[in-house]
Amino acid sequence: MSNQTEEFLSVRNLVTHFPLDEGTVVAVDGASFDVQAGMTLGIVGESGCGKSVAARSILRILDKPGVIVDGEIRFRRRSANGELGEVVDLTTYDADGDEMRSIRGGEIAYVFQEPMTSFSPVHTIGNQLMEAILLHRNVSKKEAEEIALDMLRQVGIPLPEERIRQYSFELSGGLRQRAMIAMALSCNPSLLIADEPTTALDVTTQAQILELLQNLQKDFGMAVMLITHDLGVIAEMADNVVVMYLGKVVESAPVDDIFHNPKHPYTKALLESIPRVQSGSREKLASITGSIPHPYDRPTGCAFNPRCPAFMEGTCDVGEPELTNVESNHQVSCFLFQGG
Amino acid sequence: MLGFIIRRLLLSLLTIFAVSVISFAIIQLPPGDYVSTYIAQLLTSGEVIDETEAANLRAQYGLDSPFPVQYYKWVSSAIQGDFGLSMEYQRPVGDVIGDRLALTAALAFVSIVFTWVLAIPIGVYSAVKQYSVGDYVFTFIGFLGLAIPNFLLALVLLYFGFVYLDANIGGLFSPGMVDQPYGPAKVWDLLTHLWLPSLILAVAGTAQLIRVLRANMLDELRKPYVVTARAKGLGEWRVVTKYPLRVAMNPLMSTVGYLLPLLVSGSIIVSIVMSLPTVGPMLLRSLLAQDMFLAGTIIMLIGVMTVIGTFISDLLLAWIDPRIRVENS
Amino acid sequence: MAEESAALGRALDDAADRSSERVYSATQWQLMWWRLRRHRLAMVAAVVLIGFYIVVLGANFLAISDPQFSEAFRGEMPPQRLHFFDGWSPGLYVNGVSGARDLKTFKKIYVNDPEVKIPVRLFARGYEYKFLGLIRTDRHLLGVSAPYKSEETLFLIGTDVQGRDVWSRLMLATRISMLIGLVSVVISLILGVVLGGVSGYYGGWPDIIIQRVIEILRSIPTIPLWMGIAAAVPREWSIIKIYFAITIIISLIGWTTLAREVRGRFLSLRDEDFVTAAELSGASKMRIIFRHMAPSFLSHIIASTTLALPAIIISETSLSFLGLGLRPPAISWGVMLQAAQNVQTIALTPWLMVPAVPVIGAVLAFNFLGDGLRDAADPYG
Repeated sequence: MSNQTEEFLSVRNLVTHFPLDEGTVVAVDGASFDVQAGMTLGIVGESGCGKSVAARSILRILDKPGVIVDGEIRFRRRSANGELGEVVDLTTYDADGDEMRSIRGGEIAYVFQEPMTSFSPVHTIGNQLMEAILLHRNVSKKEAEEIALDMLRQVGIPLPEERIRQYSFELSGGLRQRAMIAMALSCNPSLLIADEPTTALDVTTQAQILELLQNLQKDFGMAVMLITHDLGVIAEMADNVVVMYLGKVVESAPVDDIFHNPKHPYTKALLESIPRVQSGSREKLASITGSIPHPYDRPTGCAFNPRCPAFMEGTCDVGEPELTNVESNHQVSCFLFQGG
Repeated sequence: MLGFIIRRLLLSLLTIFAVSVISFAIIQLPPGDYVSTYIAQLLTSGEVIDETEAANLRAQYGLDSPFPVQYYKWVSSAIQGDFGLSMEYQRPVGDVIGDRLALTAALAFVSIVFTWVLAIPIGVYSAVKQYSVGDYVFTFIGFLGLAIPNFLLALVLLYFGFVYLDANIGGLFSPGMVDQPYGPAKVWDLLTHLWLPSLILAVAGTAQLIRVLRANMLDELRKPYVVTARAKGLGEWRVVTKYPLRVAMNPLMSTVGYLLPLLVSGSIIVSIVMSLPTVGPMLLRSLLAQDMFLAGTIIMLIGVMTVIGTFISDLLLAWIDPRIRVENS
Repeated sequence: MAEESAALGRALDDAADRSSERVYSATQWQLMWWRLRRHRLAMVAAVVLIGFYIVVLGANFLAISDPQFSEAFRGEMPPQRLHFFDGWSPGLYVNGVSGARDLKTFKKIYVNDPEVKIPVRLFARGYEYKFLGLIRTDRHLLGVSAPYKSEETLFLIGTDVQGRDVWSRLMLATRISMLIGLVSVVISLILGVVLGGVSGYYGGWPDIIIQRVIEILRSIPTIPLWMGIAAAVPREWSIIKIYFAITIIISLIGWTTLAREVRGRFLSLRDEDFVTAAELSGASKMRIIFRHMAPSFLSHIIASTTLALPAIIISETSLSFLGLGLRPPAISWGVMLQAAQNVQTIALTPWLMVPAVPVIGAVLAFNFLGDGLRDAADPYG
């Protein structure tokens, strides 16, 4: 087990913009979080809070016209002997350059939300798996095929020799996601970014995939960055949690603290809005008032202030709060906890 | 896959049948029949045919039988290569057509090659570098290519060639080569003359193909599997050519088959303008002179040739597109 | 509690300010118009097309000389220069031209006589015609006054071999070509919508048969076919009858594309939930087709129809150019271009190629407008 306090992936003040004709969308507005080696970080937030954009910024695969405007992404690369080596700032690399391309897939892998459209419809699964392997490992085609078959077996796909020759439309949703995971892990990455990996699946398959991810994490000893809007998945999988709202991190803590000791009003509201089995019949479902602001219409001051039950006039609509430590390992970005 | 081939083959046969019927109907369209036109022609040179001879001729050609019988007679002799007699040339139609049909096919084929060779790189470039200067330039040229009818383009080019180069750039062979038998030298001569009319023909088709390819590529470039490929660490060039291009090309493949009839149609008119020894000018002359056996045969042969070409391209499509292969196996 | 309602109040205020209110209450056609308006190229094309149809309406008014008036010794005259200033004072005029034959080449040469200044008038009197087919008049946009005659002196784009004014013929050719285009496309549209609709909505045997017919027609080169049929139109027919026949032949060329589009739309709409809902609430088939399904694809059909026009215009021009479509004394762009069929003619009298310009212009304009309409009609674009 690697040293947990050593830096593995540190994102500091990441700012990502999308300059469009109608205006610039600030997708990530100064987000900071850490991933520890071998541990799982869960990033949770509503649609549009910037979690996917942040993840894609790490891998530098932003859709045009996205661009990283500010911030650092410090990542500890693997050295030649396979051990953890030096730390580099990924924002300084050319997105299309050799360095970044060798990291992509080789050291940091990405699993996408929609496995159907994330596989090419005109190439076999085997072709796409082997391509990933051949890109990062120095093996022959025959060896690559062996590795691919082995990966398919590890993710629990039966009859891999048949599947490897099939196309993505011939596999069921669950099998496709497993194949996607196989492809991601085929080069033994040290970090796996899973972007809503189970959102497109039914609940039973969801449970299976999550269990698979947990087992693979133990087997491969890799870190996982799990992006989701589902607090249940977070509770099950994450060691540490980061809550994002409108491009900023509002709270960051170990998973138990988030669930039992939430500090930020948004986190509290999220937890309250989970329907409970024990609630009485005809009890109204709690929800957060208002809706997410339009990206061109961001509120002044704290981004959450129009919907915040703890809104303090004169403070919350004027300045922006900073991420401060409230307890060890527990940070909140809220005026309720600032200024000492 | 086999089922697909058989279905396409049946459809092709049905189409050939339809073409032959339509061609024969065209033969029959002008008022009067073959014999009365023949008699009129003879009259102008002073010969006269009496009633019994005329009746015999009619019986011989089956002209007093109903339409289906005549059709059957025509088709059965056509299959054996006897397409009837050309009024104008007073020779069997087959002889008159000669190698023109093959030259028409060569023209169409080279045009298809040009179309694809030009359209694919430009289409991909336009999509990948959307809104760049190059994209706008190509889009504009593409629109011009679509708008200018190919025979006008041919006319304009001929004009410039005539006025500024003092050359007649029509024709498919150099003067010395026309009567030579086919050999490597003649084929080379043909190619050096073929490129210009092929290019003119290809212009409209290329413009169309570029637009479709660009639109398809733009759609595909936004799709998640492209991001997956990038996330694997694949280089940008490979990402574009291996994935979205393959997918974007699929709908194009199915249009290749229909490119052929359009090209053959276009070649008719361009050939007329540029005086090429293909089927076009001959068809026009025969229609204007009401030399119906010649005209009808040309129409049928063009139709058959096109259907065969379309069938071959369908086979190619089935071979390339895995979805058809898998679904029908 | 108070904070929550305050937050709610603020959120509602924000929403009310949005101009998206207008978008919610606009009709389908308003939305389409707003989107089309942003497409600048399509707007320019629309203006150009309006210009074309103004010519259609006022062809005779815009013409100068009687298009059929031929004077062989004024044949092949190059375009005259229209002068706008006589020395320093404004005045429209052209120079007189005298013809002669070059004794060495036997070609006609026309010499400009700068001394002779023939004034050109606006709204001058010329040959008689019926404006819009109703009002008898002899006023034209441009012309010369007595003692000169337009037919002998004013040739803005020169004359053809028979000495006829090319400009005037161009005006009338525009009318005929654009009208044939319009009528043909309407017939194509009707054919396409009916056959495509039957095919798409009812499916089954009608669909299979119609589909096979369309596929067969698509696989055959159409030009030779229509050449064959056009050649069979008897030459003795009156001009009106020939117009009619050619229009029908041309409309038969392009209906397959429209039919396939309509069928495609019907097929995809047929399975939509809102159609099923209409069926379940007891609506008749006719009502479902016209009231529920048609609005969804009407805009697409308009776009497709606009895009079908260029092919029709090129077809008519090509057929007439070959001598198989309209023939003299009818005038269309193709008929005029027939005079420019060989290189030698063009080299001597390049102005005879001028009809190519409106052909290209109309085709480009219809293409741009059709593209704009298609983008505007697509709700997912």
